Amino acid sequence: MADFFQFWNNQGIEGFLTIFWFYFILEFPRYLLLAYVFLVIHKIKTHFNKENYENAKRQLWNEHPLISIIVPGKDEGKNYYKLVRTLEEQTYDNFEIIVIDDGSEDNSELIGRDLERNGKIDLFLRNETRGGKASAANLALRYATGKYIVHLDADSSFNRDAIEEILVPFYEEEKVGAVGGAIEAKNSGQNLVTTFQAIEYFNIFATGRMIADSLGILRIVSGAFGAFRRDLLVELGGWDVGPGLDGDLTLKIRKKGYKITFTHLAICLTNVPTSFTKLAKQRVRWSRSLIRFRFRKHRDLLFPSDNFSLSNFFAVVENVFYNFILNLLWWVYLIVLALYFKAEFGYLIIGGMFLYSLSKIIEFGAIIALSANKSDKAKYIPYLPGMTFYVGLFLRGVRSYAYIRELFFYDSYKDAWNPNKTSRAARKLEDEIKKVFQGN
Amino acid sequence: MELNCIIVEDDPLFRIILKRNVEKQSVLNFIGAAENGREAIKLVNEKSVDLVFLDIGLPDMTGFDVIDRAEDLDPGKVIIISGSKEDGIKAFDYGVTDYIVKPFEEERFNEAIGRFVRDVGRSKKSVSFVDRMIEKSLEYIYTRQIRDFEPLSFRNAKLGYIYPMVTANFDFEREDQVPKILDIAVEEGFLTSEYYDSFYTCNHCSNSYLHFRESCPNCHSTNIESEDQIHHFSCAYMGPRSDFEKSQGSRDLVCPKCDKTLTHIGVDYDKPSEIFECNQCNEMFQDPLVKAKCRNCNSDIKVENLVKKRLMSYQLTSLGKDAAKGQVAVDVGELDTMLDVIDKAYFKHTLAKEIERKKEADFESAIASIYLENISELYDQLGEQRSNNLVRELYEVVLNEVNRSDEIIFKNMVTLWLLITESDLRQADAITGKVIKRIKELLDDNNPNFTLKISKNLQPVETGKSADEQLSQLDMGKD
Repeated sequence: MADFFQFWNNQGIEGFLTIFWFYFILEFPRYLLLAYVFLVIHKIKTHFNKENYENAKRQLWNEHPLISIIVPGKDEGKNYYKLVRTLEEQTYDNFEIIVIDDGSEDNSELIGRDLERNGKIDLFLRNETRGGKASAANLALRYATGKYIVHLDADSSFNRDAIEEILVPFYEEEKVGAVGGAIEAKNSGQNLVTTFQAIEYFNIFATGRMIADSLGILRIVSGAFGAFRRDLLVELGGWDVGPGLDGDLTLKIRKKGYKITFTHLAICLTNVPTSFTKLAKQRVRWSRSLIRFRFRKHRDLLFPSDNFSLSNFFAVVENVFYNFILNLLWWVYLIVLALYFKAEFGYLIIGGMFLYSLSKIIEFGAIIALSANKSDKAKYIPYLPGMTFYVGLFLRGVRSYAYIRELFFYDSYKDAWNPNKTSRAARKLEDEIKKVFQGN
Repeated sequence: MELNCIIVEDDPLFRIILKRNVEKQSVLNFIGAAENGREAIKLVNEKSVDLVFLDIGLPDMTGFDVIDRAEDLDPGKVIIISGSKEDGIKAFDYGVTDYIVKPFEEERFNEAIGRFVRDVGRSKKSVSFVDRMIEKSLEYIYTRQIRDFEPLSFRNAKLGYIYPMVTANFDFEREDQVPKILDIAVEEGFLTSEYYDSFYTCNHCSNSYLHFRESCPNCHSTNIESEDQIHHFSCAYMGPRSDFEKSQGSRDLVCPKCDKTLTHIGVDYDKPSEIFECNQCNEMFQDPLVKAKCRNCNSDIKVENLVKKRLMSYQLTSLGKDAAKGQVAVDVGELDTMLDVIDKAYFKHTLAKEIERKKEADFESAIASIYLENISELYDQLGEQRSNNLVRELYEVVLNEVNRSDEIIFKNMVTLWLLITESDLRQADAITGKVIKRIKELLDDNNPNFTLKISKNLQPVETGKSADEQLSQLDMGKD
């Protein structure tokens, strides 16, 4: 213990800053500083936007458009009833529910048909063979008649005003193409894994997406809860083959010159994975899509072309830099430190822990300040030091693994998440895109 | 079956011979002998006699006089045993069963008994149509030596099949009774049966000539069309085939999203589903209602509500053979299965007894009627057979809810009567409430789209009024 203090005493403040340059130069401004700058901006903005928001809401109710709620999925039958019930409770009432059963092997069809017969679901369509999430969503889109499409996962539930709130942004600004809603962990208190994820979701949605939104660089409208203009989706031909189809579609909307916004007022609860293994699998799938869609499918956004726009470029660069480059760079940083300090490396770890824990706690302060119900967030504070390991080691490790696998082995095309037939066809298509670019 | 018989004979020797012959026949039960006409008449009037062996020449009168004077004696129950042939014609004018000339061979006697037993069987059959039909079928199968009595396919028959000879006895509307009757014969042990075919018939008229077709679940129109849905793999577009048909008449399928021409099913596209559209109300759906329209009575029934029936082939058992030969009688009664469940008279009778009981002792009782207001809508869909089953099921369920001393019975298919003994109105109301709850539960569980409307009326049993009056009062007070 004495050695530990001796070590840091010798290093001094200058040494501390030098050793943790990674944090102070790259992470502190991006996460902590930005969160507080944004917090101020947001408070001011909300204050002045209040009238605009009220007007938009009034306009929504005056128009009272039909909304198509689409729910594509496989083997989700057990969730249908709960989903329908949470939708029946919505304050917004003019919607149709279209459920697509994408080749389920359980009793989804039976349950769905029964709900359809009893008028709880407006249209229940089943594909005898699985086509993947994109084609299922597209089939729903084909038969949807509402002005806006709200895309949901069957295992989610919603605050009573969630549908209403996710529609408001369409009336707040011109040319809004899609609106993302906030997602929170429904089973947050179940165990450590879900609690960590609950905190992570607050981070992603409360600060992450809100900031990205006000900077105009929001990259994703989550498939679990997102609203889209139907005419725009039809024009774009809907979703392309996944995984990562949500981010992919968001990019296509941006390319068309529409805005993507986020509202933290529309809240959806979803069940998050309950073990580290399941969580790792989920994150590997999410992470792969970055490589696939940034580097392969939508590389045009990175280079000057007809579709080029600064905010799109910035959105992509930020995403690639922070998620991909820094992720890999971090391992290099860690190895260099270990080699340089050798035996004293342990002191660095403990010091780092303090630093990151403090940072997490301060950052969480911003989340509490931004959130609608502040009191129930306080219970998460004791878990914040643990988040250092969860985000810093676990998630980073999983992500790095996924990037490398995808870069060199094209894993996502073999993913069981999509049927083989669609993966093969999609890969062929992307190869052709690659050829065109190389040709230029 | 045993037939009680008496012997009327003045010659003691012949009396003994006849008695021995009678005792050899297992179907005959000797109950007495008479030496003269007077004794004979007395025996016939006192005992239940099925068969009389009658001599013509008796000391005090002739045999014909006995037939004339014994009021209960049907000449069909008489076998004349006479020393001469000369009265033969007169005897058959009387309508006696047989005429045997003394002395006779044992074989001749046995033949007379056999004929008589057959005749008795036949005259019994006239009591029940079902018995007659079963006997006829058995005789037919036996005499033609049919090993397997199979139905024959026949387009104009109500069931699409006929059973040779048997079906011909029924008019078209009642042809569906034939398998039921043959099945009764199986239950009674005259026949065994083997599976032959399955078929569906109209729930209302039991006609098997049905047209099956899809219809719209929304407006029930049969004017609907289906279209294949195409999934294009590379761009994940999915929509109806018509989206891919670029121009009319062109055979090419071109993806509306990425403009690629589809080339090979299973490689770059497939057809994972089809969707129906109703031309009447524009409803989209995948799960059409399949309905069966009866060509006979025009009712249109959801196929889920049709009842599958089994068509059997039949084989004679040894009991059946005996019945065909007339050695065993067929006696199964009539075809009415609802008598124990729907019985107004029985309830009235029970209520009358209750009124009497109440006059003797001091206690309270109540009667209630439960009216299933809209259940006939359900019966319409179910058809007769299943409606009867439902009523029976309701009856059994309700029976479990009431005390053993209470009575319940269906007055008709829509009204249930309860007699709740030794309870005041409040207790009776609680029991009635329980019964209603069970009925609702049963119907709701099995018919999610049907909501039963139910009403009840309750009144105390009074000693001052007749059962009839109280029951009509109960009906009038229906709310």
